[in-house]
Amino acid sequence: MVFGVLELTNFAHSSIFMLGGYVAAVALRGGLPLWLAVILSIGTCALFGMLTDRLALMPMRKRGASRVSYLIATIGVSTFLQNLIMLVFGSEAIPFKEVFPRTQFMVGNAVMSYLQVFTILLTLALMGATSLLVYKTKIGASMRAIAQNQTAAKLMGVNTDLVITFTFLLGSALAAVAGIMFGMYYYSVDLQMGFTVGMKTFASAVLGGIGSLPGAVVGGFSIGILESMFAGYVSSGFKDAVGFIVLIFVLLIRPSGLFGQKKISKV
Amino acid sequence: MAEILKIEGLKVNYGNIKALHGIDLKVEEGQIVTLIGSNGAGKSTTMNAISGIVKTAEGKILFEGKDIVGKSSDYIVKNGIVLAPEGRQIFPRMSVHENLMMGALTVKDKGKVAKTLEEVFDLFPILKEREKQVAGTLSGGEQQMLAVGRALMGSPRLLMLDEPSLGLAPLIIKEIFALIQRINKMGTTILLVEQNAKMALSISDYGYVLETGDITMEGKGSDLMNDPKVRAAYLGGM
Repeated sequence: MVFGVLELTNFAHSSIFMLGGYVAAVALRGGLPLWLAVILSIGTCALFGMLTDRLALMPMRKRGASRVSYLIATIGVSTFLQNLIMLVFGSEAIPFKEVFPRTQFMVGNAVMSYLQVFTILLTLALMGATSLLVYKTKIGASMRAIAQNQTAAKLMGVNTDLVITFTFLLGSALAAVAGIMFGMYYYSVDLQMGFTVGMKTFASAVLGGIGSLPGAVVGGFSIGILESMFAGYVSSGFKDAVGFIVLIFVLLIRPSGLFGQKKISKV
Repeated sequence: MAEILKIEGLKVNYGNIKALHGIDLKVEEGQIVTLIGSNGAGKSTTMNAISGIVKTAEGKILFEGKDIVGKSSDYIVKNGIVLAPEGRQIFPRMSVHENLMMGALTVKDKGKVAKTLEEVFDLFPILKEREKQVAGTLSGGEQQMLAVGRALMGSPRLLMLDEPSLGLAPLIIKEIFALIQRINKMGTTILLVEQNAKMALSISDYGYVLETGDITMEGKGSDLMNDPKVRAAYLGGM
């Protein structure tokens, strides 16, 4: 999301995702109903996403910082958030209350759980909603305009700071949903979840074509399927390496990814 | 006639480099005013300062009597000054239609947007033909027309055009200048920056000559065209 608009890899994203999982886990443990835990988690993440931009990145934009500086700033925010989470929630894994019944059913030869079905449906719904926002609304058009030419966007009257902050807010809200789903799936959240998932999603995003929404989903499924197959047929110990092997090959062979747009450069 | 734009003592710096040393300039409603000068004289800087894209160090920019120095670019666009920047700067991966709609971003009234779109298509029929095409695939002349059309979509009271003839074939340049005159006749005041001084002065009511950050000469378009110094420096001694 943020990459599509700013061409900036937001390393704080994985920490926001982790924060989303933690807030929901703690809220559920405290006896809050699921809907309230979800709202609390999304709200907290959206707020932190907004603050990331307003406090860390906007002052840099005002001074015309270089792209590498933004990257380093997001790594800084990421470190800060990780430590904040550790300070507030402690360093031990927190159990995530069971929300979906564990019952599984067979589809042909495959074992499925209700949670998996729900995850797929939710992903599709969120992807649809996000695409609608990006392609059919004024703020979506402004986001795409900023991605393609920031100065020209300003000259059209786009309030770039507002749109960029909104993009961070939206991306962070989506990260919260992902964090909650992670918690539901693995029944716990811990301090490592951000890093592993962050790296894998990065590999998926590159495979699918960075900045492309359907690409991100297809890339994610591909990496997941490849991992499982590797674990089943070769060795489960090295399954985490699959994503990175794919990453290296994609960067060598087709850096724009499966759905990525090739840059049109015309003078 | 009323002054729509009045600039007093405008200074702009890029770090330690002084790009504009305090220029005065005014544009009256309904006019075409041209700023000529060589590369690096500060023409684009002047336009960018008016749009709020670069910071003004000192001076006043009065638009319809209100000082707009320090205002954000979106405020300035909303208030009626739109710049079609140098090098066209269209959105390459959006369609022609989407590009035009970006130009109308600040216009709330949908009926007005539809009406302006008709006018723009009337001025540039080629854009209607290419409406669904991705803008990055247009030819240079078509992209320039799109840039001007997109700027018009915001219904500006003051339209600023930065080097609209840059990199275009002579025949297309003629066409663009004819269209600029037509837009002006429809009631839009125009501030034009050009290296093609002869063409620009020939359609202008008034002109300014900018040299390394200072205005060195000004006068009616026709007077400047006949001035021996201007002829020697900018019109190739014709």
